[in-house]
Amino acid sequence: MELYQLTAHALRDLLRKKEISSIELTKSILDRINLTDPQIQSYLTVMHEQALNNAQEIDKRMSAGEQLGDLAGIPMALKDNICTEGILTTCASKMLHNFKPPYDATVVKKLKKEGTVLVGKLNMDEFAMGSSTENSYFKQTKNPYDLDRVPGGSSGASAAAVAADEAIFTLGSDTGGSIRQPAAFCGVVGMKPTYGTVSRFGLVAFASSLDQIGPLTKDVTDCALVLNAITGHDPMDSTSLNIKYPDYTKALVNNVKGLKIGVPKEYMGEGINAEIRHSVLNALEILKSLGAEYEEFSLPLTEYALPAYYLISSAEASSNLARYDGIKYGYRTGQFKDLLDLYKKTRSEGFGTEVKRRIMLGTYALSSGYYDAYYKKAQQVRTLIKKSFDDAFSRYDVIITPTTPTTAFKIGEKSKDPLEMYAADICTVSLNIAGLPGLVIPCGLDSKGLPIGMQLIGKAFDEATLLRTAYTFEQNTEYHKIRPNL
Amino acid sequence: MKITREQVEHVANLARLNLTEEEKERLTSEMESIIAFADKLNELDTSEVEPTAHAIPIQNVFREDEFLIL
Repeated sequence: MELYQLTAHALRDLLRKKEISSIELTKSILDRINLTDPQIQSYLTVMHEQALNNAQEIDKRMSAGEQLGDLAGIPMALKDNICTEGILTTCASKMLHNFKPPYDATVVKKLKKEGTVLVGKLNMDEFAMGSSTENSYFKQTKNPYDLDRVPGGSSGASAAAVAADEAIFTLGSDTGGSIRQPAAFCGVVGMKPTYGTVSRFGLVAFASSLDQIGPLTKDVTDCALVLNAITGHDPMDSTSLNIKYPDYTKALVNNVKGLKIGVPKEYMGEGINAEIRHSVLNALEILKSLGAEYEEFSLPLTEYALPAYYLISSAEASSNLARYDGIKYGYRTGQFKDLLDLYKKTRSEGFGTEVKRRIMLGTYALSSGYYDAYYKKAQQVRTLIKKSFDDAFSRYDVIITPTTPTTAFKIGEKSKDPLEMYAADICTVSLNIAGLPGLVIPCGLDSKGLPIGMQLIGKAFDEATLLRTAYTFEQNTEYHKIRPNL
Repeated sequence: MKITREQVEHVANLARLNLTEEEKERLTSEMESIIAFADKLNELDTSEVEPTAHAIPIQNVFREDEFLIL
């Protein structure tokens, strides 16, 4: 085994036993990026020198006997919508092609404090709008399992980099499935925590009431370690929750006896590929054999989640993206007559097709005469969807569903029809609408050799039950050990 | 709901976007199909339902006012 292939917790143990140094490990990752990223195209920025300097610093502190956290010395990478002081943060948009933030996002501060080694910034769909990473202004990230296929999106490169061993773990952001769908497509573990548990300060806003940062990792133990590092109350984010945050590693218990699992039949119907259904049912049988119980039930309103999501997210996006006017930062058009002309030219030249489409839809939904019919209506449907989950969780500890209706699709296959692309999010958007945590873990490959992900949905703030269920599954199966041939 | 080219031009102006003729044409039909998809929500009676802005109940963060006498 090469160092870059190991999990964060295995590397932590080796670092603590002084069997390896963070410099060796960081070099291993940088070499791996040099070797495989010309194919995968995950990184927008790689920080060779800075990463090695950080690693050296951590090695010094460790050999001086300093007690450091679980992630000290571990090389990781961030989606390019998470602000890093003095380091390009482009959101994969021409609009921010030259933007170097003057401050670190709270999650970046926290990871620095842990002593992690930032190796670079990762490609994404422009402003996190998309399900395939095809909407990047800069490049197309490939799926490590099949280079003709998409890695998912919008955190496509955050998933591809972990699957290709180009980072030990990464952070992504999830507004409608943008961590979980690429995690499923690339066969890695991805979590969207409960809304409000990870600070959004320094996350470039897409849809503020839905966005949440979360980890993409090689296994469930690493997921718990990263959650420990990034969750917590932040006074800089007015939606950050001031509650007591648990030690998530305490949830890593190999036991699901008596666990009640609900399987909504609306997520297991005709629209879901048969191989995916079969694979999720197989996983449920495994959990049953370990002492859990599962049954099908009806989760009504599922079909309304997607239209509600696209109205709410586009409306919020149109408002959030109003700040890109060519005045304060980022791209500015070359020639203009007056202020209005500057705004219009800058925005028309700086934004890509999908971003413009969502700004148009959102502006329409918020415009005079249509607000009640669309935005308010969607917010009312949100109340109903949230209530349907509350009802389900009075009976079940966990809800398990497929993550995606299909496995990774071909590059270009869905980019012509926006509605077809939006349908890729059918299993994931409800959680953002209801604010609930979702954990995706690999549960097999289809007949083309492409990964399948199972989604575990929990009550608000009950990440622990998701971790315990997933950990038990992982301890008793080998799916998380499958790796692409690169 | 039918989306007209004039509506697309109006919304583009509100959003501070210049659209090419080709973009106007494409967005008129795309917005019409996306809005038709969104109209599915009208199947639900929400007359008695409160809207939810945030899924998790939160309150704004305040700090004490500080008075400065200059």
